[in-house]
Amino acid sequence: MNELINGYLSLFYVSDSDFFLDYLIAYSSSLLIAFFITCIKFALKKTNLAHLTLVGTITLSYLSTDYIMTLEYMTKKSEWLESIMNTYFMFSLFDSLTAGLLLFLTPFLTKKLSSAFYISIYVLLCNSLLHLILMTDYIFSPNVNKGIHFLYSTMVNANDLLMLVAFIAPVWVGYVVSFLAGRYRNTIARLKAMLA
Amino acid sequence: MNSPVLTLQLIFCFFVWAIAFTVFLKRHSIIRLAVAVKVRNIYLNYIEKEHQLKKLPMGDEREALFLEMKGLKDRIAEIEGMPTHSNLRPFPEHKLNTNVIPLHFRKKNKNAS
Repeated sequence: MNELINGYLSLFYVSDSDFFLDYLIAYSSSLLIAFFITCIKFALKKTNLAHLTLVGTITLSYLSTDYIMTLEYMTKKSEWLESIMNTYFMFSLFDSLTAGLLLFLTPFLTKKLSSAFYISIYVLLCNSLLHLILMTDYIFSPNVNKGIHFLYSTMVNANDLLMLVAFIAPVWVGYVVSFLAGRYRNTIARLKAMLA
Repeated sequence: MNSPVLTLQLIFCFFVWAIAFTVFLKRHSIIRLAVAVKVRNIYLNYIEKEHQLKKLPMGDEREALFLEMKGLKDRIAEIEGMPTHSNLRPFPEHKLNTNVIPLHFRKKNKNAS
């Protein structure tokens, strides 16, 4: 298990393989392709303006942060950890602000909020909190905690992929979400009662 | 790597995250506000058109304006989630009498057994 975690984390640390850089570029390109697909769908009247705005805003937000991340990676390879701290704070801030902006903007464009919208907000808020947890670990603990790194990395990657799927196929994701919401209705009701 | 600047940054980012999360929890209020703003704007437009309608003589122009007003009413109904013709009576519910078994069904079952 320990070897698996180390092997997985070595992919995302600064090393000679540059897997992390390739991954970033591939993800940004996928988001851009998803945005173009949504534009074509909107032109053919297969989707609404709210979904286009959602995909456009998040693509813009992700592309800007990924660009800064790549720049940091390319220029400051030796001082990666020191320089990345401020960048991560900025990511967290960007994610929270994008979520807030979408929450204020989307109700003016559509009456019913889609599953893709809820998934995007969940991903933005969750990623923002994960960045903060990672930074708390960096600031306050003297040793590197690989468990938190692994949790952070897997959850952020899974969330990002989930969001990409929700952008490309919002209707199918809506079906899956409504199926799961029907199946776990009692748990959701209990959670709602807790949060209310 | 504990420094006061980093700690302050962390607190600030967490504060912004907490605000975003609160906005998410209060999303229904934002939706209601958005609906109210939209309906208010359409109603203002409607009242303006009503004033214009009263000044116009009978004719095509007046009819076109009336149709526009009707369109605005439909838009309000669509936003608020009301049916377009709210003055129509709803259809009575078709209640099935479950106590009575149809005769042909009974016969078929009898033959089967």
